[in-house]
Amino acid sequence: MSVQAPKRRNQVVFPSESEYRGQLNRRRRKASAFQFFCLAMLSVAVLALATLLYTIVNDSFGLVAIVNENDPRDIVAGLGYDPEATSLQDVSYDELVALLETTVSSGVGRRLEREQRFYEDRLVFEDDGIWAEICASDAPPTGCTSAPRDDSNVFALVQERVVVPDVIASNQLIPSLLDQDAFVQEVVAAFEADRFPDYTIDQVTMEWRAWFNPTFLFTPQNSTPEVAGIRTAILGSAWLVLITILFAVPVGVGAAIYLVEYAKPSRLNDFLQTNINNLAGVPSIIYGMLGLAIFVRVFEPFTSGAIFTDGVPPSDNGRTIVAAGLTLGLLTLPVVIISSQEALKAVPDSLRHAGLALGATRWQTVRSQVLPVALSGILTGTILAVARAIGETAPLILVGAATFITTDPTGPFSKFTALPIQIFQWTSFPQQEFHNIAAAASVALLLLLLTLNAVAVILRNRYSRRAE
Amino acid sequence: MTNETSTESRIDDVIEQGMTTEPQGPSRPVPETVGPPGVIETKSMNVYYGDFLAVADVSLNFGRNQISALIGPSGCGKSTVLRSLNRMNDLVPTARTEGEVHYHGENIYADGVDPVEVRRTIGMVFQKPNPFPKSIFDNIAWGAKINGFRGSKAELEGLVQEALEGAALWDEVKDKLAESGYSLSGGQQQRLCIARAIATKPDVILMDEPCSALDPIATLRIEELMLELKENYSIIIVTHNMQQAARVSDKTAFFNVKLDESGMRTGRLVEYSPTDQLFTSPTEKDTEDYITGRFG
Amino acid sequence: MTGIRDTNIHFHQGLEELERKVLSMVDRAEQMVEMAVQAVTSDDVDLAQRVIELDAGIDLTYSEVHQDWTSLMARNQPLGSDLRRMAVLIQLNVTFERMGDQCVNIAKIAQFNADLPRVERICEQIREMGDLVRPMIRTAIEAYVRGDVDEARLLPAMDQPVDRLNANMYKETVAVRNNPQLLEWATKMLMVSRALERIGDQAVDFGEQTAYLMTGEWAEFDEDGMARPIDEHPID
Repeated sequence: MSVQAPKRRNQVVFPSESEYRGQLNRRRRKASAFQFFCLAMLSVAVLALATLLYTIVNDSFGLVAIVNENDPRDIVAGLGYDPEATSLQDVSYDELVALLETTVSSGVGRRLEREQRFYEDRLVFEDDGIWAEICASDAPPTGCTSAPRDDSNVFALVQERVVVPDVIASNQLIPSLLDQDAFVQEVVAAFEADRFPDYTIDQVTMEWRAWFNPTFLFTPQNSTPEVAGIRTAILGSAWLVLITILFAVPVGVGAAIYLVEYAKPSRLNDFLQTNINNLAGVPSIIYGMLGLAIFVRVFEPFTSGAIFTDGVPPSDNGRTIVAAGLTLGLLTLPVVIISSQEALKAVPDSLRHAGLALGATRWQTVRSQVLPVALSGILTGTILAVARAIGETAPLILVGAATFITTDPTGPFSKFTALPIQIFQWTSFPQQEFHNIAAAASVALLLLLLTLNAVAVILRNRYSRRAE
Repeated sequence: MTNETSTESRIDDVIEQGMTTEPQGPSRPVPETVGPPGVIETKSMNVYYGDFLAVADVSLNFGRNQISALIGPSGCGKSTVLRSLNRMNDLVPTARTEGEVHYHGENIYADGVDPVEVRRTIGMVFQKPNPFPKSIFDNIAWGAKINGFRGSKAELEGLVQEALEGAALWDEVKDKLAESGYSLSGGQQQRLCIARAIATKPDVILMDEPCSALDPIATLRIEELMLELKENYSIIIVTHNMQQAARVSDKTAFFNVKLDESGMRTGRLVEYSPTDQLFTSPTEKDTEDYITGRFG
Repeated sequence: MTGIRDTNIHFHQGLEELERKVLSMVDRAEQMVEMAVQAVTSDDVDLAQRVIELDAGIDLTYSEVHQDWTSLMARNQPLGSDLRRMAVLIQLNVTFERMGDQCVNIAKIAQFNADLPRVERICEQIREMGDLVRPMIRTAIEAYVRGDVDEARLLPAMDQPVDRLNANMYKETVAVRNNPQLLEWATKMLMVSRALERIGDQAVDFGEQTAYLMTGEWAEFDEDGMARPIDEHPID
């Protein structure tokens, strides 16, 4: 059905009715084609993201063929408990330490103790005299100053040293769900091909393993992938986030307020603005180099904590959390400034004029009228910027995040590691198990980011509702 | 015996001879009001935006407890003049004012004068109602607080009530002072802005096209309010609605914009007369052309 | 002046049309004066009837003008000289309608007096009054159309002989009081004289309206045509 328009004069420049209808069909087809194209692009994007998620989740769960040197159940029984009722995790701290005492060599035990003590008041492996001596020396080990181990720490140690689990083969989630027998066949075939000369096939148990599990979150780092956890990394990342926020938010929001509310247009201002915009796009590794040169080296007395203590500085060099946090802070600073500027610019000028016309100073107007309205935008921008900073790896590598550190950070002047660093390190090992825990750590990182984004959305909704 | 058609043609003949002159204003000059200076007086004020001379040589004497209207075509500088009276023009980075603006005899553009202080006693109401995104109560109270209000809570409440009564809004909002200012209709929001302005007890209220965003009924209510406010305040209003200026103002100033030799459109004051006279027999031809619609 | 565009052209066209109608009334009235004077001084009853018929036209135009004026006023909000012209036109509407009525009065007297004997002297004087009043009307029309205040100011002087002739008419009437028929005739002619005197005053009013339109000040003319402002206080 076509709509007949009333006859107009001067029809010459417009198409006739039938021409118009033909054109209209062509136009409609073109419009549909474009719509379809955009939908296809969206699908590509969704597919790519889904593949990413799939890969990560797939590697985080699945069947494993595991050989324990000492079966945890036997160990529990050996301690006098009923293996059905009690698991190794329920065993007390002291018993676990005693177990270690009997199992590990004294050399290994002393090394462990020097890394981190077992008790505050007594030494397990080391001799008191020698301990006092080494702690008084120029380069005391970390165990002298750090807090003693805790339950999960020692449990991980027992796992590592006494149980000694060895995952000889692991399977991904989807294959594990769909076809368990295939995996079993694979393992059997591997044994027949004599791929595991150290073990016999009856030592092997098939377990369903969730590489990403609550224990994983609370277990410290370990060189054995079966035992390793991301607690140190999470704490490291948390400290970094804190320092990043403490630095970037006041400086960034303050700078944005000045640029939007107070600065008069001038060449200097344009210059500043251009530079801030450019800095937002600078590759993060360059910030890493900056952090290394300035915070780690030049500011070493500050970042190692030396100027705050008279005696032994908390760290022997500047590669500490505070240096990395400041580096990440600098990284996020331009983004915070720009998003805060946008949030402030979005506040209509009529509010400012209304405030000023009542005889308020600029600051009074900004504080009472402009900032409350801009707050949701500022918060959103900040949280999103910080969320991105959590995932930065390159600058942290340069500034000296340790790739292997088992002690929790105790303060801003501690050595540290972070989630992305951990993931980076684990994926560089060839063993499949490391890939599994890298995937599990990625799941943790993604969940953390999701949480931060959710917080951003909630805060934005809450504050924008208030502004109305 | 004459018939009808020749009657018509006789008149046509005469009319075709045409007017030799056009109606002028009063034949005797209107005496200059050399009275006491009004509440605000501008002396040869020029306002520049960068190199652009927006309005030139404005000398106006605004009377106390009167409503003065500024009218003229767009671009004639009337809003610029208004904003110069409370130094709101300072907010435009390229704006520059020459000449003097005397408020109670003191030049508000002299060195050392703080615009913040000027704006407390010369309040402003804007074209589009712009209440703060706060409660009705806080909208009014804020102005008092930032100017150092030291009274008790009860005194603050009294001040808010007084301001809302003065703006003829109290009865409509007295039961919902905690609600957001945005919950009011357009006309009520504008009255809220007026209440907010009078809460700081100003002397003069400047209004920049206060009714142009409102419907006719709301407009008439605001005009009624203006006539009441006149008793206690001096009001200067910019309006593009000639009939509004005719209805509410005591004196009207007509501004015109002309292209000068260098191609710059500068606004100038053409006439400042009592409203009755300006709208029935203005002294300047430019004014007459504008109000009769003969304007190119 | 180049560059001036009339943005209010529909109103101005309506105003011009209104003005044309009003002026047509006074033009017709002037013709009616001529005819009525002729009729009453020559006992021409048919001519008198013609005058009465012409007045119907004036009355029709009067009512049209009134409606058009109200409509123009409601739909536009005229200001300045437009407003003054509107004020003037509605006044003139009434004035010219009355002018027509005065002519009708003369025509009716012509019919009434047709069978009565007449006094030639009186007729001469009436004819003279007619010859004085008609140029006044024309002068007033031209002054209005040309916007010429000076010309309008000539009108009071032109009115003085008319007033004198009217004042004299009483003496002429009294002179024939002994003849009842002549007295009746002469009494009626006195009314004709008064009608013509009123028409003269109406022409002066026309001139005053013109002066108001052109100057924006309302003033009544005194004998020399100088404006005497309605209040002596200066505009504040």
